[in-house]
Amino acid sequence: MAPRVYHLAPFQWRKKYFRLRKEEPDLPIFSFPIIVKATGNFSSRNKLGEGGFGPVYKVTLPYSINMLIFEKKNDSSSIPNDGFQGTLIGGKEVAVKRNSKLSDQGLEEFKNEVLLIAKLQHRNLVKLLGCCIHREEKLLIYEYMPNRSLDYFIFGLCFFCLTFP
Amino acid sequence: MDWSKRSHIIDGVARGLLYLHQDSRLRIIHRDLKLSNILLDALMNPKISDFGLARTFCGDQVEAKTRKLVGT
Repeated sequence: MAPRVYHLAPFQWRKKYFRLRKEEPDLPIFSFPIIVKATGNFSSRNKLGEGGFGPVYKVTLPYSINMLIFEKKNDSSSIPNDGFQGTLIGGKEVAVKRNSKLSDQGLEEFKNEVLLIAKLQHRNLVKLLGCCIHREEKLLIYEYMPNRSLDYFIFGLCFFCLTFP
Repeated sequence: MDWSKRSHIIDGVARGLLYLHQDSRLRIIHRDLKLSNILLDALMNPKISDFGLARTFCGDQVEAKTRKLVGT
């Protein structure tokens, strides 16, 4: 029996977004309501920091998200298992970068990031797990990095920071 | 943080950049590499992030026009 997909985002995307999907069909697209729920409506409690692109939130994805991605891969007949290449991310901690800027530059940066990073895979590059587009909201979903960024170590905001012996 | 960890981080960032510039299918110039864009995973492996300003160079292109000031 095919899993029920009752939380698919409404497809109210602009032409640009359709083009984006065509260019990168392999990247999972998450539903916006799920992300909103998981971030607690983007509460500041889950906020990790602020990038040039917008605020970044830490999110633990619900298990039901696996179903959604599986459906997208047109492979709903088989039961998902953990061996399925990195697409089963339900229950995992991820980082969500939010951009709700209305500007064209914001859209351009978003598009740039999706198109470039989705084609790349290297252990020293952050992995993009998926994206989400809902009206003006553009979200990028990355793997979560528990040790934050290098500037926390260099500038001594971390408890085991750099010291020169 | 000891010196082996530090050199591990430097090595990782350099590898990531080398991959972007040479080894990947596209030649990519990051254009916004800074401390806050280098993230560290649980094992302190560095990962380069934020490709919002990145550009691709095609073929054997070695220079590009940059009119706008970005990423400051």
